[in-house]
Amino acid sequence: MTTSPAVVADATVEVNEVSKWFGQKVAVSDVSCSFGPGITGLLGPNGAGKTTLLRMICGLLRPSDGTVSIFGIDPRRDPGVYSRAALVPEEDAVYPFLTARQFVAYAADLAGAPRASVDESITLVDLQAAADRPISGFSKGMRQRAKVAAALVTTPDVLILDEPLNGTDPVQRAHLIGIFRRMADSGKTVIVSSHVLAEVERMADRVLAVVDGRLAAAGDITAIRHAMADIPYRVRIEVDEPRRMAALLLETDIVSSVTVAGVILHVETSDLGALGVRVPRIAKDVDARLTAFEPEDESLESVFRYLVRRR
Amino acid sequence: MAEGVVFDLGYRPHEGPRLGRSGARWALYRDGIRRVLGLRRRARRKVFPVVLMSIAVMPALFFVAISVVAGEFDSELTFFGHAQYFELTGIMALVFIALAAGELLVPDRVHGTLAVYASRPLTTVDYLVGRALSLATVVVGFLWLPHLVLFLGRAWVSGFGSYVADNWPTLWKTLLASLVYFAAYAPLALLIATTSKRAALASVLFLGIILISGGATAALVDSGFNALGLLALNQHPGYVKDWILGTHSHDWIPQQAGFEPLVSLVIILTLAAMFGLLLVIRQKKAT
Amino acid sequence: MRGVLSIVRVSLRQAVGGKRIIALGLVGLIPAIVMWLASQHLTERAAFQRFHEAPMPILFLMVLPICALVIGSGAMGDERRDGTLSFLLLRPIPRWMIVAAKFFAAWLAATGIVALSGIAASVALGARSGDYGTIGPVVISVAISTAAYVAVFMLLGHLTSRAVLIGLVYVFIWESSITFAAPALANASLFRIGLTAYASMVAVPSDFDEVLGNLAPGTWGAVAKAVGITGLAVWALASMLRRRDTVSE
Repeated sequence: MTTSPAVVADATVEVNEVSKWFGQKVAVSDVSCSFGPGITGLLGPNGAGKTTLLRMICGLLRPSDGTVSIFGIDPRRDPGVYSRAALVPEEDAVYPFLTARQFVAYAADLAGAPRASVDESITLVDLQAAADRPISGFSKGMRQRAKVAAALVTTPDVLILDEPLNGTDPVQRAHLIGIFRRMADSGKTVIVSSHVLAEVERMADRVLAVVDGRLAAAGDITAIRHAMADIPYRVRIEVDEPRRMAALLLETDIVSSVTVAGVILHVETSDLGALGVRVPRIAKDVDARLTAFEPEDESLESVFRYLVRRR
Repeated sequence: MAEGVVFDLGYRPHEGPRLGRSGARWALYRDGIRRVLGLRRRARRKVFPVVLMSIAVMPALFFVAISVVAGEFDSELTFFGHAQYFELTGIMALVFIALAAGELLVPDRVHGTLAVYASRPLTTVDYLVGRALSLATVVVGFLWLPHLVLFLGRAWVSGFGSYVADNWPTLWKTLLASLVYFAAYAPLALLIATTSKRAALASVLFLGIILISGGATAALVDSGFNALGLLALNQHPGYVKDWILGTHSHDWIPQQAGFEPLVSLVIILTLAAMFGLLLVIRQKKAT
Repeated sequence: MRGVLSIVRVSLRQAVGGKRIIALGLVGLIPAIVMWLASQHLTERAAFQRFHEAPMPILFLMVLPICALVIGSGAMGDERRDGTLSFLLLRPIPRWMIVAAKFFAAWLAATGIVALSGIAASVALGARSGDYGTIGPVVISVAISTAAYVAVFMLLGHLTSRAVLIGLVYVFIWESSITFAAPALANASLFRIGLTAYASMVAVPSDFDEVLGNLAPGTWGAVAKAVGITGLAVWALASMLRRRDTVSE
C-alpha cells in the first residue's frame, strides 16, 4: 500500500533517505522517493539538485548518505544493472569524430545489443538522413537525438533523461515526447528532468519537485496544487455582469480578492470547491450570463512558481 | 491588428568615456598578465608561476645575502656569474613559455571567446601582440629580475656609486639577453598553441621539438653536418647570450659547427619573424 | 568481449586521430634521420656505436616519453574532459575491463608510433652496417617501456588535469637529469626498464652501463616490471572509478 505520493507501489528505482554534499555544499538533502512504470517528471529550479539526484540514481555519484537501487541492485556495486537502465545526460557526452551510426553502434556493442537495433534506434529518433555524418557537425538538437538513440538501442527498462528537450525544435520535441510516451505505455520507467514545464505537464504521469536539494512536492499536479492550502486559488470567471458579480462574491467568506478586467473576473479564493458551487447561484441571483469558470493556477508552471517561492 | 509595447526597464547606455582601441589593447594586455600569473584565478593556478619565479630568484637572493654577511663581494663565493645564471633561468623560461603560451591562446579558441574580441576595436594583430607582450613582460621580467637583484646586491656591498659606474652595462646586456631568450622560444610556442585544442598537448609538442632539435643536431654536427647546427633551437639563445655578455659558458652546438654568434642571432630573429607571420595567418583563419 | 573490443577500437581512433598522429609521426622520424646522416662513411662497428650514441637516446629519452605522455594521459583524461566517461561507465562492463581496454588501446597506439620510429632507425643502421639484428630487440624494449609509461600516465591523466605538466617534469627533469646524476635512482626510471631488456638481447657498447646504472640486463625481469606496473595502475584506476564520483570537467 502506498503511503506517500513520492513512493510508488511497483517501484523499479528506489531512493531512500539520500543526501549528497560536496564539501560544505549540500546538493541533495534527505530525499526519499521511488519511480515505477510511466513517466515521472523531475522538476526544480537551476541548482535544485535534480542532476545530482539523477547521477546518484545512475551510480555516477556516491550518496553521502542513504541508498539508491535499480531493480533492487546498487548500480555502483554491479554494473550489470546497466543492461536494463540507460541515462541520457544533459552534457554533450558524445564522441565528435564518430558518425551518429557509429556512436549508436558503439553503445550497442557495449551493451551486447544486436546490431540490427542500431538502424531501428536511428530511425526512431528520425536521424536517418544524418546518420553517416560526424557528430562534430551536428546541431544541439541532433546531438540530443543521437544520445537518445544510443540510450534506446539497448531497449532499457529504465530510461533516465536529464533535460532531453534542450536544443530541440517543437517538432523534434513532440517526436521525442511521443517516444517516451510509448515507452511508458509499454511498462517502462521513464524519468525526465526538464525545465520545459509545459511539455512535462503534457507527458508526465506524476511529478517530483526538488527545491534547494529537498523534495518539495510529489504526485499528480492538481493534487499537489490542492495540497497547497495556504496559497489561495486564482480563478478566472467570464460573466456579462462583472461588477455586480464581483460585489456579491466579495461578500462571501471564501473570496479574498476580486480583480475586474472588462467582462473577466480574477478571483482569489481559499476554497475552490465551494466557490464552484456559489458562483452559478450568484450568477443566477444577479441574472448574469456565466460563460467561463476556470482555475488559473493549476498549471505546472503555477505550481512550480509557488513551490519555489515558498523556500 | 496585433499590438506591442516596450517597457522601460531603466536601461541606460554607457555614458562614461569610450576608451577605444588603446583601451581595448590595454585590457587585453592586463588580462594576459593575469592568465600567465594565475591572478584572479584559483590558488592552484598561481603555484607554478610562483614556484618557478622563486627558484629563479632564490639563488640571487642567497648569494646577495652571503655577500652582505661577508661584508664584501667575492666572485668565488657567489658561484654564479650573470652568464651562468642564465643556464638556470633559461630552462625555466623554456618550460614557462611552453605552458603559458597555451594558456594565453587555447582557451579563447576552445571556449569561443575569440568572437568577443573580434567584436571589439581589436585587430588580429592587436590580439596577438597583446598576448605576446603579456608573455614577454612576465618572462623577460623573471629572466632579468635575478640579474637585477645580483647587480644591486653587489653594488650595495661594493660601494654603490663606483660599482654602478663601472658595471652599468651589465644591466642592459642582461636585459638584452633576456629578450633574446624570449624571441628564441615564444613565437614557436605561440604558433604551436594555435594548432591544438589542449594547452597541455601544445606544451609537450613545443618542448619536444626544442629538446629533440638539440639532441639530434648535436649528433649530426658531430658527424660533420655543420649546416644542421643551425637547427639547434635550444642552443642559439645561449650562444647569443654569451656573445652579449662577453663570456664562454658552454660549447654551444652552433659554435662547434663553426658559426658566429651573429648567425645565431639572425636565425633567432628570422625564425621569430617567420613564426610570427604564420601565427597571424593561423589566427586570422581561426577568427 | 565485443564491448571490450569496441572500446579498444574507438580509443585507438581517439588516440591517433587528427593532427596528433602527424606531429608524433614527424617526431618519430628524427632518430632514423639522425642515424642515416650521422653514420655516413662509418665502419660497421662505428655505425653500431653511433646508433647507441644518438638515435637510441633520442628514441628512449625523448620520442618514447613524449608519445607515451600525449597518448597515455589522454586515455582517460580525454574521456573525462569530453564528458564521455559517464557514457563508458554506464555500460554493463566491469570497471577493470574498461580500464584494461583503454590501456591496451593507448599502449598499442604509442607502441606503434615509437616502434616504427625505432624500426626506421634500426633499418638505417642495417643499411649502413648490414646488421639488422637490432630491429627485434628495439621493438620489444620499446613495447616494454611504453607499457610502463602509458600505465603511469594514464593513471596520472585521470587523477589530475595537470598530468602533462607533471609528466614533463618527470621526463625532462627526473629521468633526463637526476637519475643520470645518481645511478642508484635508476630503478625509479621507466625508460630504463625497456633498455634492460634491450641490453640483454644486444651486445651493447660498454658505455651503455652508465645509462643502466645499477640495473642488470634481463628481458623477463623487464617484462615482469612492466606487467607489474601496468597491473597496479589498472587496479588503482578501476578502484578509483568504482569508489570516486564521476564528475565531468
